Amino acid sequence: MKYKILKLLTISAFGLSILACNNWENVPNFDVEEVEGYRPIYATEGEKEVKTLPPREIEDPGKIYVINDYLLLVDRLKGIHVFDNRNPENPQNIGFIQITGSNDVAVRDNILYADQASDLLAIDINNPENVKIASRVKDVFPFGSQYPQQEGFYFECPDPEKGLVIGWELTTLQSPKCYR
Amino acid sequence: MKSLKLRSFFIYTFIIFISLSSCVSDAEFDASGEGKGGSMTRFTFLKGYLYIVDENTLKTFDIANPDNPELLNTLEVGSGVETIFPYENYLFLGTQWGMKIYSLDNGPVPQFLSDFEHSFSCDPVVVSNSIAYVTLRSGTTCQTGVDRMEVVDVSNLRDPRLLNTIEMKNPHGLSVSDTVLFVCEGDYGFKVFNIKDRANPQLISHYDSIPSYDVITNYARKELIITGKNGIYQYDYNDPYELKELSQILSIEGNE
Repeated sequence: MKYKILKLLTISAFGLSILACNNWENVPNFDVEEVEGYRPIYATEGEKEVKTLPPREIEDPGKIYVINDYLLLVDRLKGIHVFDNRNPENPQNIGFIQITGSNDVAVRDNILYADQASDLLAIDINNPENVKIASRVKDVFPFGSQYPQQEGFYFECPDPEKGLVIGWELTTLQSPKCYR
Repeated sequence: MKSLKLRSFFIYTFIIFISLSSCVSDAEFDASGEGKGGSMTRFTFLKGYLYIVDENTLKTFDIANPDNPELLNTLEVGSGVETIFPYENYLFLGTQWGMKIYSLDNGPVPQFLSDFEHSFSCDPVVVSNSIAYVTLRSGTTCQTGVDRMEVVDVSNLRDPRLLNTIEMKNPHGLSVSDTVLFVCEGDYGFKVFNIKDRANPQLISHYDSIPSYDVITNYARKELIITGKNGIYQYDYNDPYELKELSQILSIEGNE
């Protein structure tokens, strides 16, 4: 369902449709020329760095994570909001860890694990105001979270050459090759 | 006398200044131990190892040295794996085809125990007291998907049995806290169920104005954290029939 190249999709869609669907209408047709869909927005140089930024507003809330008295919220493909939740009646937004291309987070012993496109990062958050990458394991996520959140749309396949995807814009696409 | 007053004035001013200037001191920040994710997560820890699901694999990382995480093993687990949930010594994977159960009884590399298949959907899973609650959300890849919650007896991990099915709108994350079950319904809000009778969840209430995607409960404090496109909402659920809202952290969209 996620990030499929044409061939893979066609084969699997064919398989799925036989196994699970009673109709053929929803198997996407890749002969489309102009169609509404999602185009990737790529990160600029400044957006690639993993670093602590001041608290900011929540744009596209994703998954949540709790560690002790802190609440983390993933802002899809942008990074992680950190809230001091000692008093749930008055949570404090204390900062933002920029991790462009991230969807998931888990914390153990002051190390924050997160995905960044196709890589797994271990980030030292002992000093939350100055987080540091402890390690980067490449190619853990072959599909690299590089597809739009919305299902049932065509999208322009991301070009790894262009770098990290930080979001998606709905637009008119010419002969897209990806579908979710 | 005067100088004493003056001195104490300075001392107080200094103390106030210090307390104001320390926002989040490093000493205060504590991210030791292990945290807790929601049911939508693809990452989990179990027995000191990090487990990650991605599309069609389950990877085991030795994270004894975070400066150099070591990929111990990659299991091919079929397609469409979306979520992972740790329960006792087991990993429950939510996939588009159903639920897969893996065991860590024989070391850190997961071993396949069983597969519980249903129709093509997207689904996280949570487990409590040998009962798994699996939400199925129709993906658009195949419109024959269903929107429902399945209650599955997993007391025999090698042979999960379907106990009950509850129709849902558009279920996403879910969380169990003793006899209460919270289920996110996407744009349709969230639902609270009484699961005293574990196989027969009874709907207590439906908060239809709070879009919800992921949820975490804190059993000790009876606090619920639920998130969706409008932001983060926290509740006290000491009385599950009468949730008490504690706070909201609204997103840009929620503020509009």
